[in-house]
Amino acid sequence: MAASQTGSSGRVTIRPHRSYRTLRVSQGSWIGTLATLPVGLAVAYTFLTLALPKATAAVFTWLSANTPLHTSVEDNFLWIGSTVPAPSLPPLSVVGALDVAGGCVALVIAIGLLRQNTPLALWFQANVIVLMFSALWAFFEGRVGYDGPTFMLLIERTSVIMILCSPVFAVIVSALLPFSSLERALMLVGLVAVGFVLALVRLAAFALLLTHFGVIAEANLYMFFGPLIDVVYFIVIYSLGVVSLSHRIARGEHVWDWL
Amino acid sequence: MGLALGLLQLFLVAVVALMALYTARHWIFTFSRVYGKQRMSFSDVYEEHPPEITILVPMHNEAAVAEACLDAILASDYPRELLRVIAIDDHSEDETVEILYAYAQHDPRVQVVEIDGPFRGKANALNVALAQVTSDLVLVFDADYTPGRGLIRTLINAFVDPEVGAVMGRVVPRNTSRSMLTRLLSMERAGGYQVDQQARYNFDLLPQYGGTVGGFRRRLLTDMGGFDQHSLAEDTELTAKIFRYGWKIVYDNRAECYEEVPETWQSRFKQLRRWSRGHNRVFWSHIIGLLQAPHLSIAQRVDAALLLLCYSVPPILIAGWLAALTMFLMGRLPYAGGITLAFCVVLYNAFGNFAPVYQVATAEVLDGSTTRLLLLPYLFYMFPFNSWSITSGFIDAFGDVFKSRRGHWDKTARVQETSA
Repeated sequence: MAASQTGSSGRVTIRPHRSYRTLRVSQGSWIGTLATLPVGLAVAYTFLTLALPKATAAVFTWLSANTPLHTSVEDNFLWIGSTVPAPSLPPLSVVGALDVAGGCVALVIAIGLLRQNTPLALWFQANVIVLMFSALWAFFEGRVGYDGPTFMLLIERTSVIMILCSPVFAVIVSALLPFSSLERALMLVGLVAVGFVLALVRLAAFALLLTHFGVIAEANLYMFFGPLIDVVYFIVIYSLGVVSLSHRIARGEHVWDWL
Repeated sequence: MGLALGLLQLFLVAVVALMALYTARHWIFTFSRVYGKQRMSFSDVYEEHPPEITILVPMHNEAAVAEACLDAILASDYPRELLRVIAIDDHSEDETVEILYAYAQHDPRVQVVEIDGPFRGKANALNVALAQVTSDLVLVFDADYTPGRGLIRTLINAFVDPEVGAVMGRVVPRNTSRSMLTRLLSMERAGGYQVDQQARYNFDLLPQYGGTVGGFRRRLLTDMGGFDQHSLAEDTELTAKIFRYGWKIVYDNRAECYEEVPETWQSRFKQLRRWSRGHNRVFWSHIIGLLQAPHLSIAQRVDAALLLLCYSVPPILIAGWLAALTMFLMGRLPYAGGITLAFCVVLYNAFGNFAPVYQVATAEVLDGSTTRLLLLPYLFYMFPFNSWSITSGFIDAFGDVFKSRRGHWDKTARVQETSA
């Protein structure tokens, strides 16, 4: 808590030096944090049960009308229904795989010679290396990864799990700072909503990409643009909550405790 | 095939368990820093008769920053007659040595030591300079550091406790606004010091001596035979030795000192790679000794293991990720495996990264930051970068062991500061 006193020059607020600060949290805030988990899980699960079957069916209808993709599989993972697009993949060409592998090796060497260590360059290199592994695996084994429907089921089920995990994430991070009930609720709603939209976009985009590029692209899609990307929106929504909290503190809300 | 698949799955589970362990550790640390009882160092002690001290400033091609560093040290409020500064020129090829001699001519407190032997590197430079130190207490500042007027006195206070072997202050970047990288590094530093170091001190675990903005007893170094002159992480080595021999390290969160963080990705890559190489060598050399140290509690031994292992986590994570990729290519990554992988990457990025996002956010809130917190998602940008640079250093360290070679000191590039 900041100490306030009135002097000859008016009201003065004294705050602890940053190295001495700790935070004060009300009992209500603790209850709110703990309640986030069961409430959040119930909200996320109910929302998925109600919305996922209709939304995935709509995505499939749109794909059927606008693309050559016309088959789907019905899933009932964790008793949550969904219609998952099931692309039929172009046949794997062993010679084509060798071409891709050769191209990737050339790219890796070229990037290595440029000695670029920026995050984007490393991200690109990692993608190229995984693509090279996929192509080499396809060349030597004659097969790689999954058939179209199984891969799409893997994507859909991983998305469901990630959305159901968002309340756990919200509780873990929100317990560490004195978020208001509104901030906590918005964080939870944001996590579920963005995760849901991203899951639908991912289903449609991955189905289309697989139709064009075939099984060789599966590993890149799953390992780089699957659950790894979910981390980004998790942190974006969390950071919005923290910014709101920090502005509240800056406006003078008394949260600091003296040691 | 079945056995190989089973082993891959087992390994993946082990990696996730390790990430979960680091997650829990960082979360507990953050909770302690925010809501727990804060353990205070000796900052507020006022020593009426302060001891004689020597400040060592090792420099290699530091012409861009040498003057600012020496000016800041010499402007200290520490009694003039008790302060001695040894500026060490370690094979500089720029104007560093001329700058140092100019200071020595004008201020009797400054002494220049030139290293001209076959070895180069901070550990060797400190060993050479230590031979000329007469005071019992020694502080070390890197050349890019600019301490405030009262900092030396604040740090020295820790030694009123005779069990204290070393003291460490808080590092605060001063070139934060230069680029996205410097901003992100500033946030990482905040998480590392404001939360991590303070929490370790709160729990009486093992706060780390960071090699700068800190100091130690000369006697301690003499008893230990000085630094390993080939070490690339003399600070971690000293931390390990201090705890093995039963001394204590004080972390003083109030003792803030300003530094220049790397401004280019290339420079940061080299720095992390060197840290990782040196840190992993220390890990392999000292882990058994620390786990068997009779002075340490079980919690301190666990903390020692997790502290020293931290530069091995990215290569372990990459290995786990490759295991998942192999299962994927085999078409045998089960749903549970896919979900496990998802957890693994989330744990590392959100919780177990170099400075977990909630730890950084908490530190920034404590520091009074507001809109700057919108940069938090960009910490994800550091993920491939940190992972690969640390893994490169890990591979270097392995090479050092197998080829019996010595690492060379890759200096971090400095940029001329225009504003403090």
